[in-house]
Formats: sequence, C-alpha cells, structure tokens
Amino acid sequence: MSAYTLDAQQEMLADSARNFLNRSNTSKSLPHQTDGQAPEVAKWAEMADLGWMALPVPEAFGGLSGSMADICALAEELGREVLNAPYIASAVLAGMLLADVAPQVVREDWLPALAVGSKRLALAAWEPGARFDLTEVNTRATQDGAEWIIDGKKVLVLGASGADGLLVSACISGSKDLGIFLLPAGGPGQQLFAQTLFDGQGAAELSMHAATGATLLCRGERHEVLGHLEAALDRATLAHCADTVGAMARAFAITREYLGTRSQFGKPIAANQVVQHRLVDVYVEIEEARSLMRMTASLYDDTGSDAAAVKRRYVAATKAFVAQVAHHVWEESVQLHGAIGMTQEYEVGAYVKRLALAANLYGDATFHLERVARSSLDSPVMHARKSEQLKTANHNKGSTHATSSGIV
Amino acid sequence: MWDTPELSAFRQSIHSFVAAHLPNDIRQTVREGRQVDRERMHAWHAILASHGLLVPHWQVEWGGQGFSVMQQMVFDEEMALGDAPELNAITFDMIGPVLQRYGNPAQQKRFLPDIASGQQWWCQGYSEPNAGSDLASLTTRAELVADHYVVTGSKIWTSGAQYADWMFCLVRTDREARAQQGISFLLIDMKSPGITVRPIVGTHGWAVFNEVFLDQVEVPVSLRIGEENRGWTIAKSLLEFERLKLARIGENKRRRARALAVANSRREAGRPLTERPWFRERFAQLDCRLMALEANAGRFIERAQAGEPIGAEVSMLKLRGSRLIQLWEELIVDALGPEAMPLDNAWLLSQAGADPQDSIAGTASSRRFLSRGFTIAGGSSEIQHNILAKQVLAL
Repeated sequence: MSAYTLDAQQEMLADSARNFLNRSNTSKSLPHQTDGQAPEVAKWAEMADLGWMALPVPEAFGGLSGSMADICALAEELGREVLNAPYIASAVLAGMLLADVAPQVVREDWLPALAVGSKRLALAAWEPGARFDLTEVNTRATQDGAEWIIDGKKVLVLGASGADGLLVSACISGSKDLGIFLLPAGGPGQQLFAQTLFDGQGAAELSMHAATGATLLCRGERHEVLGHLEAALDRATLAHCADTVGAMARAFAITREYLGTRSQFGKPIAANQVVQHRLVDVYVEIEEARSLMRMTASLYDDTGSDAAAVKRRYVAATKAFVAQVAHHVWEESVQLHGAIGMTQEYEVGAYVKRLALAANLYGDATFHLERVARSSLDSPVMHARKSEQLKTANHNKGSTHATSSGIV
Repeated sequence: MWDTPELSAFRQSIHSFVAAHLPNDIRQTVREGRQVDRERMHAWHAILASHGLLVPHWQVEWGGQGFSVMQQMVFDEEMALGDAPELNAITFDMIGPVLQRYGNPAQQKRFLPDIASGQQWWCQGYSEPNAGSDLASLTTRAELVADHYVVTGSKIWTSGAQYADWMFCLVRTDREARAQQGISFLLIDMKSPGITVRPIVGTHGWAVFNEVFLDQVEVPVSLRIGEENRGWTIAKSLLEFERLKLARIGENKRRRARALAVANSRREAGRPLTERPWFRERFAQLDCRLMALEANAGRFIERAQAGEPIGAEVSMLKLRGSRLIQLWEELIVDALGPEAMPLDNAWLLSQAGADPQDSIAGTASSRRFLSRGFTIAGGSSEIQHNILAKQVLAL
C-alpha cells in the first residue's frame, strides 16, 4: 500500500467531498458570524450523510473505523475549500477521545449518534495563560456522593457552540489523579462565552462554577490521562495538518494563476525570475509538507512496540514543518498578490487567514520543535541505539574502552 | 523509514558488513571529516568489490546485483552511518552506467571490468572557464584527423582530475551547429601528451577541483561514445542517472550524527549542549527538514519502483537535500564555537590512525566551506529553480 497516493476508497471520499463543497460551501463568501457558530455547522447532517462523521467512529458503534490516512484524505479537501465547520475538533478530536476512554455504556450512548451526526462533541483541554500546554490543569473535580462538581476555566474550546457535550480534563480533588469528564452542554454551573476566531471559525471560553451533571469517563495517574489527551490531540493535529496542506495548495494555485494573468511592465508578473523562484520555493515546501503528512498518517497503521513514540515524533515534526510552511505560504500569498491580497473580499484572503491561524493552532512550530527535540535528543530509544552503535564500533576496534569523547 | 521486513534485514546486513569490514584507519579518517587518500580508497574499493558491493546497482552482466532504488538508498545510508567514505559518483554512478547504456561492446569490455574492480578513477570534463551552468556554450574543440580527434581547450572545476586515470569529456565537434547540436562525448586518457592539470585549492583548504588544459590531445575515434555531435543527449541523460540519490539522505544523516556527537560531548552554561534551548530548536528544525526530505524522496522512490517516470519534479530533492547538508555543517560549526576556528591544511590531508580521537573540530570549518559545492555542482540551486519553474509549474 502506498503511503503517498490515495487508494481508490480515499479517492472516492475526496471526490465526494469536492463535489459537496463545490455545490454548497459558503465558507468563503459569508461574512463572519459573531455567535461563535461556524456557518457550515448547519450542514452537519448533510456531511454526516456523506459518511464523514462515521469515518472516525469504530465499526462496532455504527462507524466506518476509518484510518488516519482516510481522515487526512478528507481533511485535505476540507482545507482546500476552507470549510468552516468543526469537523476536526468535534469528530476527530473529541469523538475519537471519547471512543478511547469512555466506559462501554457511554460509548453505546454516544458513538452511534456521533456517527450519524445527530450529536456533536467538543473538547475543553487548554487553560488560560498556558499556551498549548496540556499538562497545565487547574480545573478541579470534586466528588459529592454520586455527583461530580467541577470548577475551572478552559479556553479555545473549538466547536463548542451548539455542541451536545463537552469533554473536560480536570484534577480530581483529594488525589493526584486526573480525570476526563463528559459535561452535558448547557448544564447547571456552566458559562460558555462564544468567540469567533480571526479565520471565522467558532470557539468558546468555558467557565465552570460548581458545574454538575458530569459523567466521569476515565481517571488515572497524571501521565496516563495526559497520554490519552496527547494521543487524541496528535490525531487532530495530524488531520489539521492535512487540512492545512489542502489550504496551502489552493492558496498557491490562486497565487500562481493570478501572477500568470496579471501584466505589469508589459509582461505577466510570473515572467519575472525573482517571482518564479519564490513560487518554486513555496511549491517545493508544500510538496514536502504533503509527503511528510501522508507518511505520518501511514504510521498510524503501525502497531510495533515503539509505535506510540514514533507517532508522537512524526506528528510533532509534521506540525512543526507544516506550521512554518503555512506561515511562508500566507505571507507570500499576500506579498506576491500585492494590495489585493490584503482585501477581505478577494478569495485568497480567506486562505491567508486560515493559514495564519493554522500555523499556531494545536501548537505552533516552537511548541512542536521542542517535542521533536525531546525525541531526538532525550529519548531513551535514541540513546539505546547510539550506545549500541558505539559498542559495535568499539568491538570492531578491538578496544574495551567505551569512549565518551563523542565520536559516533 | 520505508523499511519492510525484507528491507530491514537488508539494512542490517549492510550495517554488519560495514562494521566488520571497513578498515579502522579509514573509518577514523572519515569520522574526523578528513579526506581518505587514493591508496586507502583503493583498498576499500577492493574489499567492496570482493563482496559484490562496489557497484551493486549495475547490471548483473557487469558485476552488479541489480539493486532496487530502495536498496540503493538504504545501502548509501548505512555506508554513511557506518563512517564509510562516500564513493566517487563520477566513476560508479555516471560513467559506469553511461557505458552500459550507450557504450559499444568494445568500449564496455575495455572499461567496465576495470571500473568495477575499483582501481580505475574517472573525472568529468564538463565545465569550462566560460561555460558553467550554461554548459552548452562550451568551446573546447575536437578536430577529426584520420582516425583520431585532436582536442584543444580547457576544462575547469574538474573534481579529482589530479588523481584520475580517465576523463569523460564534452567537446565541440561542429562549430557551425546550434549550441547543443555540435557536441560529442569523448573518453580521454589522462596520461595523454598535451594534458596539464592545475589543482585549485578551495576555501576549505585543499584541492578538490582542477583546471585541465588540453593542447592538441589525440583521442582515438574509437573512444567516442555514441554518434558524433550527439553527445548532448548522453550528457543530459547522465544528469538523470541516480537523480533520487541527489536527495543525499545518507550524507545528511552522516552530518546529523556528527552534530549529535559534538553536542553530546560539549557543555555550555553548565549543561550539555543537548539541553541548551538554542541547540534543541535548531537541531529539531533540521530533523524536521530531514524527515520531510526523506518522506518526499519516498514518494519518488515509490514511483520509480512502480516503473513510472519520476519527471522533472525530482529536482526538488536535489534542491532541498543539498541545502540541508549546509545547514547541518553550519550547526556543527556553531556548536563547536572557538574549537571550529583553527584550520591546519596539512593535517586535513593526512590520514588518521586507528585509534579513536575526537577531531571533528579540526575539520568542521573545512567541511562547511566544502559543502557550498552541493548547491553549485550538478546544476546549481538556481538552475533547479528554473527547471521547476519551467518544466513543472509552467511559469
């Protein structure tokens, strides 16, 4: 199976997504909403009919058990058309986390509904003043008889408005454990402050003051629960990279088309070598980004012993890389267009904002570079491999002195 | 990264081979980033040849094993990671395959066994003082007199000419024809009367390239490859050989390992360099680029394995792989700080003993200057940009 080209089923999925989006997507033309509701969320049921919502849901619960490569094939198309609906945040991030951690009864209750699009979830993981650091959890859950009472504040809850349930990470009072809870949307003690992000997508701040009605999905030691959250966010991050690659490819195509059409000094702008070379740079970076994203997606089929560490490393590298390319693409899209690239009404504007947001969403380049550095420079796996190489080399020299002089 | 179980086993076998058979003085010389001399290279070639690993990508008929593209990439990588010296691409990847594809049976029989034994060295007479990236403007001329050509002109930036036994050379055989049309492809014995080689010392401290003067050098017609005035086709196809290898993933990994070795053995502000934020960010940055390069190369390898044409698009591998090598070299220099500043030319050209010593510092500056060549030779980065702009993006 190829890591780099879509298989027949993925082609069909991408194709139907293109058809649907060409027919009915209004993301590019609608003025920004202010209620925190993404405009296209109204078509959730239609998108579910196309199988999108079932894709990340396990077959046992009425889903399609799609692979990450399948999800990325779809996400790339969503980005290409800058679809403004919380598909990744709700279906991929929150839905798959629930499938990972929830007890059977909750799964039976929620997953079939998520698969047909009759219900939607959002995840509240990040807290104020901590960038994208998941480990910063100050929200508290206190048990009172059979009831959990939750206090705390979460930020950037993507797709929160209109969601049916909110997944919330919290410290469990009286223990060192963390837990993940499911709060019914709009329950007592919750306040949702809707926001519209600068690319038009909806998010919210969530304040919980003795919020009740929560179901405990899982609890455990910090590293264990954070591990679940990290794995869920990594899947969403990867899908988001695919979305971003699609958006970059279209932004590039629009820019190239414009430069080939518009004449200055008696020739098309694209006839200037300085412009050509800059377009080539952007093009090559996008191609590399797509290759890396697809290869990382293909790793999700791998179940080897160090599979989790490898996935973490590759998702971090993919996001760090894609974030920087996205940044480069949106800047060049504006600069090479000239003033029209700064306008709200011209098509490329929607891509500029999508990409500018994408560069930082789910952690910016520096955030993920540090994760890569941990894997490259601190990881025990890497050190084991290195000392093994040293051993081989020393053995070969017939020397018994292990060298620490750094000759590897 | 693309390893299947079979490929993993293959990788392991190459890894073990290099660990077991590479002589320690060569390993150490390469580790330090010094240049392995011709005598030791010949010894290593002989070892490789006796195991069928000097030209494994050649046709079986000429001593190859018909390695797949994937196997070649893994082979290169394991050789680089095992501190084996980079093999001379001009000899093994260029003229060898050209002879197999365009040579007549007599030429093949005369040269291929010698090349495959690893004891014959070649250089490439392409660039001229006034024909660099614009190769087709070359003016070295060859006049046909009876059964031989008389060649007069000069070549420059000819890597390894001071050691080479033979040179394959582009010469103008028809001065009336349009630029690309009147060029022929000749094989020239470097011991021929009329050849003078002037080594050119680079900023890195020793002579990698040369100027080659040809003054009425006689070359038998039987040493022309292909038809007269059709040399350009061969020259161009030659640029297409091993284009996947131009990602230079193995060479990038070699430098990554050096950077890691430096960082693991140096401290700053009381911490190992591997814990310093600036180093972590830059190392991770390059690691991401290497992973992206590798993933992207995988896409082209997949095409090649499926027998599909890889197209002009593949220029992007050369563009990115060559630049990335320079970025690793710069990181090494920066990580070493003052240690990278002294440069001893005589030491650079001497050979290491078999004992381990940490001398990466002694060659770092030399390597960094030498690495500028990656983005100039074999079609400069600007030419690669032009190829992508015209042939891929149709700008």
